[in-house]
Amino acid sequence: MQIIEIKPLGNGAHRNQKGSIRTVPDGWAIVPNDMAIPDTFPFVDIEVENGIVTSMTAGIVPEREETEPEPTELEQLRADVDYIAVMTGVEL
Amino acid sequence: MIVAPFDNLASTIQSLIDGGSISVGAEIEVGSYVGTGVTTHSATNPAKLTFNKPPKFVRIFYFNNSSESAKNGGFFGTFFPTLGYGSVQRDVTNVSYAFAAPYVVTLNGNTMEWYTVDEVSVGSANNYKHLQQDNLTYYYVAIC
Repeated sequence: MQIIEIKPLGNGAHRNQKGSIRTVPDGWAIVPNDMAIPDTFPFVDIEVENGIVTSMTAGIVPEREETEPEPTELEQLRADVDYIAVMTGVEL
Repeated sequence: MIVAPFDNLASTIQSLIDGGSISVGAEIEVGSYVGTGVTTHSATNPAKLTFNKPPKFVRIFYFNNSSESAKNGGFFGTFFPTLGYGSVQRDVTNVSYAFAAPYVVTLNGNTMEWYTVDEVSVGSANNYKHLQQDNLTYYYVAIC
């Protein structure tokens, strides 16, 4: 069974879950097995009646936030050296 | 992306438990969800998963075969809701991309909620470190 939280999050996405769920939590609704799921999922607009989703249409996918850059291998190595220097009292 | 017969796995394990082949009182639940793209650093808006019973152990994982896999692929979370803690780690061999951070885990009835207060390690925009990369399917296994 697939369920979806009726109220969207601040970015327009809906919390969702698929599994062997026996009890639907308050504020969530059942997504029928034969319902077409838009490519934008979980950014969708839904209509719900009696705890069951009756309509699901594509929502607006927000522009992806720029992820923070990971350290390069050299930067990581330098950080490791600095850490060892501090821990052993060595001045570089 | 992992494509696995999780529904079949769940029913198989459950039938073994029901049939007495596995004599445990626990229930194993498996499932999936699609990431919402949200990053959460407080208890006000945590990530959530609901189970049929309060979970004692939850493992969440995904694998992304894209070219970004060295950076963003292979994240997994290990949560102990009844103990109140968990962690998210990156499952890669490249030490430059190693990542691990603690997460706060709470139980609200049968619903597990998680968030991190470690904004320094996790960052403010890295939803994949919250196991919430948008449009990516995550899989979970829980012992309840």
